[in-house]
Amino acid sequence: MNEPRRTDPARDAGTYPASARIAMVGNPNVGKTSLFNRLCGVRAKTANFPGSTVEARVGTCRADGREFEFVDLPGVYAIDLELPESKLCRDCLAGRLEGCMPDALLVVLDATNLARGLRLFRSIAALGRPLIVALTMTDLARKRGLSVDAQRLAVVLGVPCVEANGRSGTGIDPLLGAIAAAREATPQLLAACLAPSWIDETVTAIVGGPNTIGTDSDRLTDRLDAAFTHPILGGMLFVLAMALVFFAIFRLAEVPMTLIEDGCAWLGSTVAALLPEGALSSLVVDGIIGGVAGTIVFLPQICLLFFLLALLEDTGYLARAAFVMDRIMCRFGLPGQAFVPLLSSHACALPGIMSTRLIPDPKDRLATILVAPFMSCSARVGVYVLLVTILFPNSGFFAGLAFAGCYALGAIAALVTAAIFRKTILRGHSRPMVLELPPYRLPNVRGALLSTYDRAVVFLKNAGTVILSICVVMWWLSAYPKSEMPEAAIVLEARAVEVEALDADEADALRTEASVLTARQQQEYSFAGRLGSALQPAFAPLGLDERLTVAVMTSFLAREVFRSTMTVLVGQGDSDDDTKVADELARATRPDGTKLFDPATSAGLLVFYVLALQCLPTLAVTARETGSWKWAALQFGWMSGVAYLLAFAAREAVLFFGVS
Amino acid sequence: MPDQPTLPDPIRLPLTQLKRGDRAMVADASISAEDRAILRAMGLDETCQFTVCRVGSGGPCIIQVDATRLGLSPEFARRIMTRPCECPDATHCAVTAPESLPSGPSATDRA
Repeated sequence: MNEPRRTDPARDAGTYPASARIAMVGNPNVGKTSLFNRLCGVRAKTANFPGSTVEARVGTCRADGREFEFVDLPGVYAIDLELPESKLCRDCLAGRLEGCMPDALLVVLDATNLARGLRLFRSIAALGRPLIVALTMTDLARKRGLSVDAQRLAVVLGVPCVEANGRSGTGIDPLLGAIAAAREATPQLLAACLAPSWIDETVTAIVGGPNTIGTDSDRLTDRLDAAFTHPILGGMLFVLAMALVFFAIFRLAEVPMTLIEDGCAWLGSTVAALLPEGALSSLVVDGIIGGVAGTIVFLPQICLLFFLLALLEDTGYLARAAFVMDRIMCRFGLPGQAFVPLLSSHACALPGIMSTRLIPDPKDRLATILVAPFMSCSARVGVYVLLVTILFPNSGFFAGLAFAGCYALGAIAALVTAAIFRKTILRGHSRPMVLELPPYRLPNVRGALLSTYDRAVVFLKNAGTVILSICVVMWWLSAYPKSEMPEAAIVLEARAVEVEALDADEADALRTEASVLTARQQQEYSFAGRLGSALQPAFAPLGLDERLTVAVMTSFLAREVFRSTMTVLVGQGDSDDDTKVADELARATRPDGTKLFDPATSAGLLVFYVLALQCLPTLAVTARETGSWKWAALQFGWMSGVAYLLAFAAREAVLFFGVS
Repeated sequence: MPDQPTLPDPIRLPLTQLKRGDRAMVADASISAEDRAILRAMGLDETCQFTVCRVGSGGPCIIQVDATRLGLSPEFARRIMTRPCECPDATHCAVTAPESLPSGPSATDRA
């Protein structure tokens, strides 16, 4: 068995080693993360420790020629609770994380709620590790008329104690200086703090007694709480806040998303021009650049979402909003905090799943992750437009109704699935809906930017590793084996050469036709195409022929591929005009002369695309956030199964009512 | 030996039946031991008084313990029995109350 690494011998020699690991522990909302951000800035990263569903942040800081590694542990009310964050703290403090024992523990105490902090301190002191105390919120405590005496607290606790403020940066240097003086709690203190009156006596000695003084700020807080948590007014304010957030996301992300798309297109064409035509060029341009571009295009939306959510959370509003939505969400076994991730999934499931970290209960969080991809994301819109236009070519009203119905169907499927999962595989006790409501304050923009940077790095790492690998595999499946150019295409090319001198436009049209025939043959001949052909019997009950099956199979990479695949397979060139493409697909026929997109098949296909999980990056992010591919597989299997059954039911219903 | 006079049972009210501005202490709660431990760790044990900031109207129940506000869903708050306080100037009543919430089975556990 591996013993945790201890660096105590260096301490025993009277000095810290060149690099010391300091674990930061404290109650939630005491300003611990602000302090960590001030200490480490961008030299920090999120660490997912094996076996843990919660995360800590690790960062470094240099001071006086020494390097400190800080571990920002999640806020806990006690370290002995059976909660994931308490377990992570226990493991870290006992040296079970990466086998590395912290050299010292920095306990962050809130001067406005010293009693609760001292309860946590008491259990941490009993671990016998060197301690330093950072006393935060002292400005707020003084505003409330409390006297704050950090020196006295240092004497009472017998360990260094420094007033520090992560937002303003005051007290950071003295805090770093105090780390070298960290020491273990004395046996006398450990004995004294077991007395029932120790906490009350200490609070009285340090801040002049329990905080009973009301302030103007309390009255304002009362009024704001009454408005923000009111079932009707609070609900309306929440809808307004979310509408503003999502308007900002869609509006502000538009320009950087276009820049990323254009940049990737430029990169692809430049690389294609530099590399000789062949397998390597296709791999780099179509597989790597094309695949990763399809994922990182969402980076601006992700950054904006996390930045705005961090600002909202910092104001203290999100904790109140959670109660408003809890009344609705709890009927489906989800907590109020699940609303924001589900709403975010309408933009893209990736940021939606990543934002489930707002949910404290692991089962609630898992249930939300599993159902988030049901919400109709922006990538589905293209397919909805195409199929709805085919279904209702002359009725804008019914087309609009069907479009809205797609969104409603996705949301209903998500909520019903959540209720089923919470009563079956995720059955069990949920954390009670008790939340600390942090004080209202102006958001910390620096902290929000650091948090956004952290999320962006995590997303890009995922895009550059797992998602890149998946893209390369999918490229290979659709590009190999290579087919010969079909004879008809060779004839068309030859005719194009003949007529080029007389009619350049005619020559271009012939070449386009030839390339469509070649692409169609390649689609059918590739592994993905063959898989589609092999699976066609399974999709026959949905009315899909081989071409539609291939289109459905290839769109498991990303659902927006459906449109381009169908235009190739049906024999039309791709176009930006949705109506033109829909017209051409609506005219396509099967070998027996019947319509390929008859109403029953189109309705079934629409339901399938609303409910199926056809987005490999989403599966990769689910696996990462849940820590297991098992949950990603369940998500994929469940959503595909539900999509298949309901698509079948929709097709049969249309056939039953004889709609043609 | 003369019989000791029987003291009347202290008034116990569900948290949701208190009014805004009332001060009270937790008397008992029909909740699991796990939830009990969470409440205790959040500072809501039988040794502390709290002030009711908001209650009713279908929204959460908001109470203030020291300078910290806690929000509880109405369903959860209904299961917490409280004892209204008659010493409004004190926040902690460690002398008159046990150290923590009772650890025995709750009404729900027994049911």
